[in-house]
Amino acid sequence: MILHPGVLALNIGSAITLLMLLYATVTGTVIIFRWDYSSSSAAQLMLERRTYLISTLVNYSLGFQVLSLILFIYCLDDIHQLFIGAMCATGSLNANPVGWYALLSKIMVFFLAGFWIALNVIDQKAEEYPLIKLKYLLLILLLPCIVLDFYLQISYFLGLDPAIITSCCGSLFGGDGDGAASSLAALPLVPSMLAFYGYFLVFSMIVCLNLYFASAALRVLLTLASALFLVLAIVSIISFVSTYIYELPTHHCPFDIMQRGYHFIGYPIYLTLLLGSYFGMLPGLFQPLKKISCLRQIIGAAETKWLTWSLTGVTLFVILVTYAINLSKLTYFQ
Amino acid sequence: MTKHLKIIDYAITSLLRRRYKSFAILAAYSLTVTTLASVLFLTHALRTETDYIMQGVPDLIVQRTIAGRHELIPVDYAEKIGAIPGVSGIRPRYWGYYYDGLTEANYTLLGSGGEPAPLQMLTGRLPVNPGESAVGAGVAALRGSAVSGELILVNSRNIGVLFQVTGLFRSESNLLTNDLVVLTDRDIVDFFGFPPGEATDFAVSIPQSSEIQTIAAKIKQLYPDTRPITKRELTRTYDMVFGWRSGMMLTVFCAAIIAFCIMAWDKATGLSADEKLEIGILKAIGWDTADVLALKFWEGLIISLTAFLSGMILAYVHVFFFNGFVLAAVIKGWSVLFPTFRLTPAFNLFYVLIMGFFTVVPYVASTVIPTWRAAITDPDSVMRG
Amino acid sequence: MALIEVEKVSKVHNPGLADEMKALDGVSLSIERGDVAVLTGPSGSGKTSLISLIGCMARPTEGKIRVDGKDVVKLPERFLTDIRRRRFGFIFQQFHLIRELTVLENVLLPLYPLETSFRTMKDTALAILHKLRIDGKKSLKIKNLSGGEQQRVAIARALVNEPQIIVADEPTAHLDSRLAQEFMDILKLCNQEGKTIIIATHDPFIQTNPLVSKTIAMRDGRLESMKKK
Repeated sequence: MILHPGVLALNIGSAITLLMLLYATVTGTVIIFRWDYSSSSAAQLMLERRTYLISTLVNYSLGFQVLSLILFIYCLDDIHQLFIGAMCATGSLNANPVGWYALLSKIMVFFLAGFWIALNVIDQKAEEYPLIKLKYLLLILLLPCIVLDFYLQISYFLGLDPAIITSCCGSLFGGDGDGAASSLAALPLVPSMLAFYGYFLVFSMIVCLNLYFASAALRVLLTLASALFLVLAIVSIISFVSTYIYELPTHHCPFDIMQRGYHFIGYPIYLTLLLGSYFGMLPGLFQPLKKISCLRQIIGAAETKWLTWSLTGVTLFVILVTYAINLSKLTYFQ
Repeated sequence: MTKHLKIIDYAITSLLRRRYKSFAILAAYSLTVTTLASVLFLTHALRTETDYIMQGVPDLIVQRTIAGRHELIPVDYAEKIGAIPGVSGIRPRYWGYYYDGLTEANYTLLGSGGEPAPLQMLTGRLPVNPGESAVGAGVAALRGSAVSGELILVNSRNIGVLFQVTGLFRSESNLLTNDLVVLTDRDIVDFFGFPPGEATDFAVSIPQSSEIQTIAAKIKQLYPDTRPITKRELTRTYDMVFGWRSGMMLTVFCAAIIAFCIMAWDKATGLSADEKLEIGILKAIGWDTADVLALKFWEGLIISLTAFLSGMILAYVHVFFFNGFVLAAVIKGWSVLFPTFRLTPAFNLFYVLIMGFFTVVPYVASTVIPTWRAAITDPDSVMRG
Repeated sequence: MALIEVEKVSKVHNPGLADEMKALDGVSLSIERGDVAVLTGPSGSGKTSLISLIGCMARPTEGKIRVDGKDVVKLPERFLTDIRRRRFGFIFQQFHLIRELTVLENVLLPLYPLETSFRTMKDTALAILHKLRIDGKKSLKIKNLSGGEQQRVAIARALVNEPQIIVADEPTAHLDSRLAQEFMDILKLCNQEGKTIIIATHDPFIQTNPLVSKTIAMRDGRLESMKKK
């Protein structure tokens, strides 16, 4: 165990988040069983009021979760000095591979909790609580993810031993290795750039089509396209964006760009990417709920907002990336 | 958006109206932040200081140990070590500690042949001739050397030796040179009475950092009674010590956070009759539960941010202007041996985030249920009297 | 269709507890647009419970309430609030102003949770204060006002969201007859603008006022009589 202030803060924050969500879930479970909308009893009124408490708790939890994702990355970056061979977060993660799962689960929780909040917002706009049981059922399903996330995080930090000699981004994302990460780094430059910008155009077109046509198939297509964009964007960061930022054709680390030396540019890059793809996924996911008559209009109105946010997020992301590339002294093309 | 701006406006006026209560929370909150932030600032500052020290540390130090204790190393070891491929240079270093009974402080005496790299001279020059010396600002202040230009130290044969002060040190890091007295190598040997042909340790330069481990192993093989210490190991030890100490401190102060949360809970639960009536009125004239929750959220955020800012500023002043006098003894531990020194201000954006996790998150979590209780006040409560 | 329709409404406070109390028992009535309805009856007859149900502040245990044709009984709380703040203006027995705030701030309160801009909100409030002739005291705190001035601030607050319906609970209980007359004059103006007014009172001065178009008498949580003038 490493008694680093950041690690301590992260664990305290996560424990509190977990407690809050646990309380929310237990309350939600009571609502699932006792909910009787036709009743005018005091108990039912209290349950309705508890929905406010649950929303508040989950909203705060998601807020903390976003911050803890940032803090987690920062801690990884800060504790790398303790490990021989580590030069950035990659090295810290390699020191105890559970960290990779913890990182992945944090991103998953970000999306899942975000989806839940969107569901909650939609439900609150309807007059008859149409989704009340569904949403608290989903909350029960969300809880294990949070528990898993907490478990992974704790076991990652507990399992860290400063005596470990780890390998860092140089070997993991080095172009001449043979792992999956290395093959990403070894992707040919011109095709991957073309693919990145080309796909951005395709994605924007899909969003625009969605803005003009309310077709369910288009929405679902956008959800898939957003997920693909997230993956493709990360691949592009590893394969060529990072090299521009580091001004080193051989340096492909996706974490170093969040260091002070690179003006923390990684944080806005990743946040806009996460937001853009999150909002892009929402419309497709909510298609099934449009069958509920009182929700059709509400979801329809929300979709327009989501689409706009998605396009804004992704465009900002591409602008940031392009800006970083243009600023770079590294040139592949004359 | 406009709605939230208006609610923020209302939150500010309502906090100002209950200024005693707000101030009580604010004071306790700021105090918690100050304490925690002082710990973080202090450890961070010390780490920055050690970073400066590390810049001057050679890639590899070779010591000799006998029975697990540090011993003087024969100078002729240097020949074979210097011949190892990859080693670009080796030089013996002569240094030691000197306890000054007069000022009850420890000085570090260093031979000028092996001075650390990034030292900046304040005035004068390094000693070249026997009987000359350069001293750190702390030593100079304690002994008044800057004025007299002389320094008298008692050598190993209990004879007072007079040194001319030819230079006064300054450095980005006070910690590095504060207690430093630099003499010529010959003077050091003579002063401490080193046996001829022995030095304190070797500084080995190795340009290729990936080879340091291999070379260290080779040296160990060549001379089993030596202990090669890499720069890396030193850095890690410092990091561990400071990280661990601040972690310990923070753990201890968790008690303070808990006490603070209990108070926050209590303050949030213990609504006065006036406040209850106010929430009842707001509900009656058209505020929703969510609006009252938003109001309470903004109130909490305003309190948090204010406390945060003032706590951080207080901590900054405490650590960098008053050298963290409250906490210094605990964290620095060995600092009592040193003459006083001033910490270099260092600030890290992420400490704000860490502090947020330590204070705002528990505060928010401990007030969420009480504020919800207040927010669900029946709108018709004001009518039922 | 009547503006407010109340159908067989019952209200039980603290059901299942030791202090369970049946406040209303099968009350049915209707109030038309432009009515000035007065609820009369002794203390504890259920007047206050009834107007808090009509004013969407609470939900009945049984029965139906429709406001402008919309059934409000089964609406989630936030929708009730929404109806309340868009259609109703309330005047309470003790005025229930926030004593530490100024006149203007008190009048602005109902508009805070709405998406109106600061400026519009202020203009509306100032116009109403002007109409009620207390704009000169807009920066004074409530605690420095006389009873009559406080009353006018309370009315201004009830009018600031331009409600269709004004609900008043014992508004003249603490006023002398001159101020009570002034109060009725203001209500008359509002009524002329087309607002519906519902007053719960046992002040004979209001009950016999020529402005009243409907008298609803309550006793023991039941409707005793409903007379139209």
